[in-house]
Amino acid sequence: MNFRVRFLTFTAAAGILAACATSPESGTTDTTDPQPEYDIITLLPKDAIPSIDRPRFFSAQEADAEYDADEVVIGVEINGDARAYSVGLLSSHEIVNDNVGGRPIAVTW
Amino acid sequence: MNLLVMYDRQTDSLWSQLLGKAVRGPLEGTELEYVPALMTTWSDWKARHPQTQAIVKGYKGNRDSYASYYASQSAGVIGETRIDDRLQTKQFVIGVDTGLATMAFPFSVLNREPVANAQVGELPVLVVFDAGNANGVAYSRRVGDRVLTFESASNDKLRDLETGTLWNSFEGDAIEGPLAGERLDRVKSSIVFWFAWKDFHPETAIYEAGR
Repeated sequence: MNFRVRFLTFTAAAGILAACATSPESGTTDTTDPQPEYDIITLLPKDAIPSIDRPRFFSAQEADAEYDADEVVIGVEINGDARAYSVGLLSSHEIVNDNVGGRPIAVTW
Repeated sequence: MNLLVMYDRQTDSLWSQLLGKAVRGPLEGTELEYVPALMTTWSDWKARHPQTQAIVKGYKGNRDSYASYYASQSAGVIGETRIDDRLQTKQFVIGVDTGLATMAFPFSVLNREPVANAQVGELPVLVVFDAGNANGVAYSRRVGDRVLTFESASNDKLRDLETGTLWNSFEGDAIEGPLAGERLDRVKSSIVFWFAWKDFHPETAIYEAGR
């Protein structure tokens, strides 16, 4: 149903999303989760933090040369296609646009 | 408060990372489909998926430009605009969002109770945590007509009290017992700082141990 959206290419950081000071105050705890209104504050121009659009991959054995055992990764597996994305690398790029197991996805940090 | 905003090159809409939703532009209001992921250590991921690939970094070892930020008291880029001191600003939580209700599961509670049977709004939810790898995921505890209650069975395994079935903790599949072959549905969850979670979900509940 979000077919069109799934083919978007994301790129990083036009800015940050900030909740307006008038976010709802109320005593309810469950039911729906009312969203505050958002202000967007632009800190950096678009693409100042460059997304990775053409990621290259190692096999698990090759990757051991670059990855420490305790290095934090975001792992995704779709239709048997498993991929790991270094969180340290994501800190510098925020977004990887990739195709995993036949599905276009964005991995964001 | 503060969290990444992304734009897409096709429509120039602006998207909130945590909400997974366009907040400005032609696609405003459109939600992205959530793909379950596992945040864990490289060695743990590789053991679970020996055939995995890993993105080429171009450098060796663990480098993270946010390393000092994680340990500092500063909250995002502009600091906090709304205080909610139910938890400490930089406490890590697993934020669970059923679409109708939200709950934060603090790492400090999950350290003591790594298998948490909870109720988030109307949905019975299971959160499983691995302190060693700082890795945690959320599932629905509904399987067919049943609502299950889980306990830790052994390393990386769970058992449900209702049927005695054995489950893989982080894959969510039943491997032995009456429900073998079933799989728990993942519920959208993020590992996130408290200050960011409560800004996006001001009404969030907080999980307390032993409920």
